[in-house]
Amino acid sequence: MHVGKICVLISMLVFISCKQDNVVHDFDGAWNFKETYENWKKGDVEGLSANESIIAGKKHLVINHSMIIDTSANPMYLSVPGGKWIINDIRPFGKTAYNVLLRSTESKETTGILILNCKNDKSIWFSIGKMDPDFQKEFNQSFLLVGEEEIYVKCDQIKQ
Amino acid sequence: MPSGPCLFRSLIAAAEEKTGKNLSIGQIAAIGKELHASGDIGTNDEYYEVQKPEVVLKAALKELGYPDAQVKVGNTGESTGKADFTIRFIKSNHHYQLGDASGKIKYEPYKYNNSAHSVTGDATSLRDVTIILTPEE
Repeated sequence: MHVGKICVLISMLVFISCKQDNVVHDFDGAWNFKETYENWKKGDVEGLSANESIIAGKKHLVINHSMIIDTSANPMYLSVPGGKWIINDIRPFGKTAYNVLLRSTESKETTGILILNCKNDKSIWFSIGKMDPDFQKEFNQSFLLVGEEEIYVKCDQIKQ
Repeated sequence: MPSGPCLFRSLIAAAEEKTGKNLSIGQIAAIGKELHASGDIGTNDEYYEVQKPEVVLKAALKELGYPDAQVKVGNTGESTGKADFTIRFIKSNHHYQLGDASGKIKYEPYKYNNSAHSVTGDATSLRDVTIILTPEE
């Protein structure tokens, strides 16, 4: 094979590889437990309701007590029952995870990292990264369930 | 009350149970309004979404005549069985209820106007709620 063609082929492979590594996930919207969401879809849940709400400029369905991520807000934020934090940054962490750098709404110095893990079906789960003691205390006040068994799915985005 | 504020109402119920007094719907609504205005509860989507559970407990206790009460909400899934109450969480319904120290249901927020609204089932996780009352002023 001609050397030039080989170079072009290598360049294409590198480009494709980088594209895969740099996939930007859209986390903006309302997230709820997969189990809750599926039950709500089936209409099985008494008392649970859903509202339409604009998040990051798009209309989303928000089931009660959903986790909200809005990276278009100023400041960006993540809220869950029992807690709300400002998102300082979301940085790729390996190929399937992101470090979500959070800080307290009360203090700029109180920070913590939540690791957002992506699954192939676009659902996510969280693990705990490094946290300041004060942030850890604040985090423990929240009702966010963390761990591989706690799968969150994004509620529907409504086409406008 | 509209559906949704089950965590808010469960925390209020903990304060009511501890003091042995009930708040009126008007008093509860007033607490909600005050905490919403201060940013301690509520999001764009849900008026009663709880941001700070301890603040809700303290506001209810203040309204019940115990402004100096101390409160503590434990960590998710680390119930000791020795607290005053627990917050029960049922993941399949994303629903919160008040439980006793062992996690047995004590108050169902959805039962306020129709017992058929009660959510049954085991709690996915428990959180301790401890309230230390100081004498009324």
